[in-house]
Amino acid sequence: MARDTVLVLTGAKDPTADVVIEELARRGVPVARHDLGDFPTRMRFSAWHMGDGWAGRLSGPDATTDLQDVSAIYYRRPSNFRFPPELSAGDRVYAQEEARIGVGGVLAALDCRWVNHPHRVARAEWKPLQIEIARTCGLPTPRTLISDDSQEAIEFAERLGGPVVCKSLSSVVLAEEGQHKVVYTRRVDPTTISPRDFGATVHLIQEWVPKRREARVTVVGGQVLAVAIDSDSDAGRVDWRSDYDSLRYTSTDAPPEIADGMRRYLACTGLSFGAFDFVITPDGEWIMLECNPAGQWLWLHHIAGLAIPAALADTLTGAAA
Amino acid sequence: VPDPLMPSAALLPLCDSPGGGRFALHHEPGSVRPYSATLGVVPVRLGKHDTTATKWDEQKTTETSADGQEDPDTVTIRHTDT
Repeated sequence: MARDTVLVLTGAKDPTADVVIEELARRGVPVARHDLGDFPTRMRFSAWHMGDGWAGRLSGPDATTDLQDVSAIYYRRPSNFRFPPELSAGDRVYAQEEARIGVGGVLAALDCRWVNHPHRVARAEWKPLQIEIARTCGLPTPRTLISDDSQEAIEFAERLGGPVVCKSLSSVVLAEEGQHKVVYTRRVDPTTISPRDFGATVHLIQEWVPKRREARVTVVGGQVLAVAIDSDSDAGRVDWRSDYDSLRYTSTDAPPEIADGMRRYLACTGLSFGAFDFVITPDGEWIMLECNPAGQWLWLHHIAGLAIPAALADTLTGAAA
Repeated sequence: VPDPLMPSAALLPLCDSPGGGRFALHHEPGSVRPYSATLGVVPVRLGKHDTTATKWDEQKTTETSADGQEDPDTVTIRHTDT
């Protein structure tokens, strides 16, 4: 029995997974691609534990994969389970939970390499935790307030003596008035904030860090792949996600102490992949804004030539160990 | 839930509903809303950065039960990341 298959869990259309699969295929690595959204209508799942670890199979519309053959799992963007429409809403909730813990639990229990294990991704997405882990790893972060009290925000800004920004803690996209809306990082004046609105939930307020440029650093299995991002627009300089057309990318190197800090960060979180965002100050200091454990990177591979597919293939096959 | 295996909401402490929490997303904002939500803007065209996997729509069933009567509804939620 050859335990050498990389299981790629992602949706049907995922060009990011495509380039990794191409790299793995070029190396002769067996790859099995499945979408959990095929379960249970187009995928069958069986697993058994006979005292020596989980075994079983995924039988999708295009392939059947023996779990015993899986040496690594690339957990990208699987779609959600799709249940028969005849299920009632209540039974769909029940079926969802049974599938999440049954299918997901067996996969999570497999003794194999993960990029990234979804349990670790979920934990690593919590920004307050990111800030504290960054501190312990020697990565500077902006001074931060999380509060539902607007007066606290006012006093926080006064203590800093400079501008502050507000950003969302989660990645929920609002659906309102027939449109989708996202919350980018915005400079705000706390004295103008409605206390009622601010008190509706907690808010993340951070000091505005003066920036010469920003950097996106993709770390994969210890390999550090950095690109500097410059923007020609005011909006892009506050949050580069808000104005992609204004951006220019330059391959760069992270300072050694920052690179080491990111490796420690991933070790602390149990991740083998992380997309770090940094501000580079006019003095050249690197300030970490966040680490996205499931960040996108394909455009950086295309534009800046970062060898991320090869780094992922190294990690998935154990070549990076 | 956007992720089949580990919906982030499932990590919330004291979450008492199956599936990891209940979201009350509405198309029409109320008179009071989270301040950060008021900063939301329609995203710019992503152009060459827009890969298929960066966003997907989810039809999410919502339920309100202010008076004990459950009122099912459906909203479209778009998930993205960076």
